[in-house]
Amino acid sequence: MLLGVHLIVRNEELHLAQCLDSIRQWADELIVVDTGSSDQTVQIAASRGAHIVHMAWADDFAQARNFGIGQARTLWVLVLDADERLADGTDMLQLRNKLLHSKETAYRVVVESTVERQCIRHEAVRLFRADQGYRYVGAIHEQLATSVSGAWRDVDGPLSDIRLQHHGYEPGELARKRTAERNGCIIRKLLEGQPDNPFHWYNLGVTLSQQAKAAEASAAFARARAIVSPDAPFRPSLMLDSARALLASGEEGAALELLTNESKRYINYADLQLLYGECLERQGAWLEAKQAYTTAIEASQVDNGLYLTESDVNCRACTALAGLERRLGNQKEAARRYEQALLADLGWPEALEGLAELLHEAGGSDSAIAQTLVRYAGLESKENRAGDARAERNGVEKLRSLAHALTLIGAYSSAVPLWRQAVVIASASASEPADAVASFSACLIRTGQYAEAAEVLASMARDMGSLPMTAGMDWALCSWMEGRRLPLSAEHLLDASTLLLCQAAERRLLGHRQHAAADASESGEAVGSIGSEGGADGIDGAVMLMERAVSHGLLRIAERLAGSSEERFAVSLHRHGYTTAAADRLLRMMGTGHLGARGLRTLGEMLYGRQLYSESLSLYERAVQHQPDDEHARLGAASASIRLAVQALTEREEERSAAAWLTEERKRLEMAVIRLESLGWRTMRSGAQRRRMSDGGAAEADFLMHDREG
Amino acid sequence: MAARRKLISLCMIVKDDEQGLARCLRSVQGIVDETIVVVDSSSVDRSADVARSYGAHVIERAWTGDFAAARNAGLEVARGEWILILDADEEFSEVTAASLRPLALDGHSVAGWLLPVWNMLGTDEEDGATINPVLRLFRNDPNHRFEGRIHEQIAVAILRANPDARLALGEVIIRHYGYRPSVVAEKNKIRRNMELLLQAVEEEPDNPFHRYNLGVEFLRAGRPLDALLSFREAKKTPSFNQLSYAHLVCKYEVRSLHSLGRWKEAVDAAEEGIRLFNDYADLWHTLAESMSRIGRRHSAIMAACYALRIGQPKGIYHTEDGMGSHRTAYMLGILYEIAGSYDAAAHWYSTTLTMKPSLLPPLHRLCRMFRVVGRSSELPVMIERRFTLSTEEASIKIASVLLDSGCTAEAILWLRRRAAEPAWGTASSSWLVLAEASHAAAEGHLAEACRRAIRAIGAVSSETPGAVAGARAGDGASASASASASASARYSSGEYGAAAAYERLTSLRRWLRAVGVGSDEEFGGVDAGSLPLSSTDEENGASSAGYGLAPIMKGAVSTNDAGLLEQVLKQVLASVADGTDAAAQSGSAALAAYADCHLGEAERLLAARTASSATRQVLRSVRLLLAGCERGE
Repeated sequence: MLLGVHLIVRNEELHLAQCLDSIRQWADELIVVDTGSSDQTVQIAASRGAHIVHMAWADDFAQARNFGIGQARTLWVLVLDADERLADGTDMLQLRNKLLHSKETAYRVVVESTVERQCIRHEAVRLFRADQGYRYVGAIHEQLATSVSGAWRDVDGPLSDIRLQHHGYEPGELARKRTAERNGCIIRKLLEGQPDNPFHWYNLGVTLSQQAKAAEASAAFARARAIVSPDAPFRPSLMLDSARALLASGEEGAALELLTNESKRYINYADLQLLYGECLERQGAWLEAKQAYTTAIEASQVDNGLYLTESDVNCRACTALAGLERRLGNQKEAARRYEQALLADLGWPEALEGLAELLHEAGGSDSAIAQTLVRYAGLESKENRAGDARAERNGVEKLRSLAHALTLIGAYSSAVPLWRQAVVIASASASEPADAVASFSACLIRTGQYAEAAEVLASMARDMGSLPMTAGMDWALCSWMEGRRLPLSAEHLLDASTLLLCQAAERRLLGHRQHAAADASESGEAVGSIGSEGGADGIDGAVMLMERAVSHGLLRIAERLAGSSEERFAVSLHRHGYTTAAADRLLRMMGTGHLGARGLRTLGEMLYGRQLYSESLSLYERAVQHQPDDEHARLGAASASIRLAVQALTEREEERSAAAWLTEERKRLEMAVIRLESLGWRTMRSGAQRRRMSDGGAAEADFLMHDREG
Repeated sequence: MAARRKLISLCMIVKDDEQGLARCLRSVQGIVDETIVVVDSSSVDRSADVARSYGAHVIERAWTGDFAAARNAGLEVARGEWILILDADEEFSEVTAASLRPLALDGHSVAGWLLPVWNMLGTDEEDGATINPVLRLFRNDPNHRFEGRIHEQIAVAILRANPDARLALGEVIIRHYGYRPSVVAEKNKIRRNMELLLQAVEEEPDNPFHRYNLGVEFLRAGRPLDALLSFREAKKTPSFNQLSYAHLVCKYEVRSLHSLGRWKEAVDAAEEGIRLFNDYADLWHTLAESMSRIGRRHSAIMAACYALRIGQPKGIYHTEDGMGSHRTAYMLGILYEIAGSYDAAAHWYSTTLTMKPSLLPPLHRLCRMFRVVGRSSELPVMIERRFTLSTEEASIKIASVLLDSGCTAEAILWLRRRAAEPAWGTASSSWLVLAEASHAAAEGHLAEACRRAIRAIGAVSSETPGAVAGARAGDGASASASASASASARYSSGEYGAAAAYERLTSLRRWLRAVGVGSDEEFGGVDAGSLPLSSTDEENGASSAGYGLAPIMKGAVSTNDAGLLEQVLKQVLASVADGTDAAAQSGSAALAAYADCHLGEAERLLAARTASSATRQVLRSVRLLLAGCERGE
């Protein structure tokens, strides 16, 4: 007989049928080693004609595998896991022919795993001759090996055409089977015997990461790093996973240091370069990040089989690079990279969002932008979707991404129908993800459909049993806009602090004054405090609600919520794009000498935006004098002075001469100011906010300008 | 005369270059025994007359589009034992010219000498040069005739006549000015060469030499893509690596890729070239450059180190001044600076200075870098340890760099430490006063800075009343003319003399007054422009016109006086927009200094909050950029 398929199983009733059905017509023999199933596993295997052997589980995968191989009556053995299946499109007939005449003794196969949306691909030796004396070694992550003069050596061979699909890493399943924990037990046991084995420490780190124990994982990875040999094949993955664990436990500095070193060594490891770039970008090192992303893209285009890599790394790196190019003002390059990302992965949400912003910045109309986005969204026609639950779920996701991108740029009327469509399709399947609901409800609020928004939020609350804080605040705002009080159900659907906050705000809106302290004229410190506590919570809470209201353009309610926190209100107006109204208020406050560091800085930024650098500089200078440790104001002051120099140099170039030193000096200064932008001292604008700045929001803010101090 | 044995005949061909010809003939006077100049008969200037005035034998001849033929016309009449070939845009370097005759006298077994041609990129050697050994002195023999229409060659003929002929390397340096971009453009040489070369390539498409030369012309003409294609074509020749100029093809291929911004390919090309010419420092240097551009800083550093280990190429390699030595060391410093390894960077900057003491940029970078990273206090001792300074000028030069880099305290320290040395003079004490006044200003003690400046200027004007425009009554009578003259001489000794310090002090005082520090009364009768400026120093005066803005700006920030700051900003902006070039530069630098004050503070704040290293690195790099250090990218 030519080909036997070998599995070891325990309680695999969920997957086993699918696995065996995908392969059994090509196998001359199915050998299933059961290590003590208590479910239908054995019956399923038997019904597919498998030869079943029983064996007691001894915390050792290799032992179980070897037991199965010992039973083989075929020339070749293909090893599968129960949660894998043969991918469609593998030409097994041809493979069998190849095996008949093959001079090889082993082959590698491709294994594709799906984790959330991401596909991970790796290669493993799974197909080999049964008559070579090959054996598995290693209690977990067992490796096929051959005995050469008493020592075990890994077996390798060329790549075959077999592709396997693996479902074992999906988080839901992970929890169900508690694989991670089981593996953890095995590994700890192994470590007792071999405390100096870096691979075991690495595996321990991986299982701890899967259990979301980032700090413990970090410690295990650190042990592995300390003793791993420089050429160990798992070293690249170890470094990447280490960095991720460090990031997850908040040790950004250590992660960056690690990545800085390792990115030099593994230039072609796309995933590592991408993570390095992300770290750098977060810290404002844009030029360096750009370099890392470019390296990642290049690396992702050559599959050298050396590294465990995720299939969407190219798309993610392109999107990240595009985002940087956009902020650096290289619109053309940004567009090219977004397109590259979307062509690699149609409908990739972040790329779609970025592209929408880019098109909006360039002045595209909503309908034109929507049309372009649809082309890249990867929506399939209904006919293709019908009936297939997976395709259906996928379709809804794409629709939501598209709707979300349009919401971000404030194209609400284009977005709302898409949101509704997504809701209709999705209603049959699982509940909506929270961020989608939040985005949908924002869309409704901003188009004045408060009742429907409240309904969407309430239904999410019922589905999930509770609401995130921001969604809770939105719900409250919707009720108030409808002229109603907080619904009774809020009392058990909102968490305690959100509820307290909303109730306090509601009393204020109804005109109840809690304490004399709330009155600004009486107390300078507790300005704007609402709620009986009157502490920091109260202030922050009220400001958060006000902020939220401003973000939705609900300015009247926001003004009342702000109470006497005038400066904060003005700053918030600025932050969300109501610049004219904000400037008006801030200038008025400055006139009466009531403007603090925050307001001065905000005003400085506005003037900077209008290229009034001299004025901007003096405001920043005053902000610094108010508050010397405000680095944003310092960065602003520095940027304004450099802009001033650039302006003066440009003037000189135009009017007097175009000497080489002038151009050089100007370029150098421009480069410096661009580098400073990356440190995040300026407000980043979304499309929705840009609309308000140009004039779309003026109507909402009108009353702030005219009926002041009535 | 006739009986005298003729040892060396200089043979030249020339067209419309009377000035160059004169320079060239001057440089060979007393060295060659006869001069034969073939003048293109279409020449319109006085080239032939100039040649005759130096006693040359002039042959006027129509241009046939063939360089070899023109040269050979000269060789036909030469009677010396040796033929020396020079072009009108070349000259002998004075230092080495004397060793030419020994080459001809002693070279019994030698058929020809290769002499290093330095292709000057500027007017003097400090601007850099490329160095190319070329066969320029060879035995006079009827078989030795030039071949090749453009880029005519003699070596082939010599070796054909005697396959065992020995060619040796001589030390006499020929300076060639023809490659200076301005001169090249002037003469439309590029276009002419290109036409000839294109024709040659058409006639002999397989000749790699034409391809190579064409590539060089393309590169010079700013057409890197065409250049690249030419070089790649040349590389296709069988047994390419046997060609004497193969190493240059490799280097220029990398250069073309640099111009095209194709850095990654440049790395590959450089590596390929290194496989053939492992000991050619230029290739390692360009490899390092390419690698640093694609972010492979670590590999770049390794490659640069390797170039340094090889050292400046010798023998048949064509190289550029500083490859494998000071230029590579400077690059290494920059690479380390970008990487944030400031000690290593400092080491390489000072190594650069040891290799080429006249270079100022590395010293500037060193000082600015140490100021930005807050380690400027180490500078005086470090410079002292690294360099042996014998002259007062050298010491003041360093003080001046320290001042320009914003290291005022260190400039004071540096100068005070020199006071006990024999090289200390009036100039040094003037610069010390300047450093003290600048430092006072930068610390925010503007009134004190003003007082110091006035006192110093007052002292000078009373000493040299003859030179003071509005001399005060009484002083003029008592001063003798000779005292005045000697004082003037003392104060006008060039860029680093006392006068230069006083000009800066005047400028500082003028700016102080402009921002409202010090009353007019305090200035007394001493007005701007009343300093002892000799006519040659006027340029220096103009170049120091912006001095003082940066320290005043720094001082204004530290005083926290909004009104003062506004005043300073007003002056700075006005000087950038309407001042002289020097004032505009200083104004721009002052704005950068203002930004630096805030960025330095931001850096300190971030460090205190244990913020990320990358963010601080960004701030550092911006500050270095503002200080005038390019990132090299």
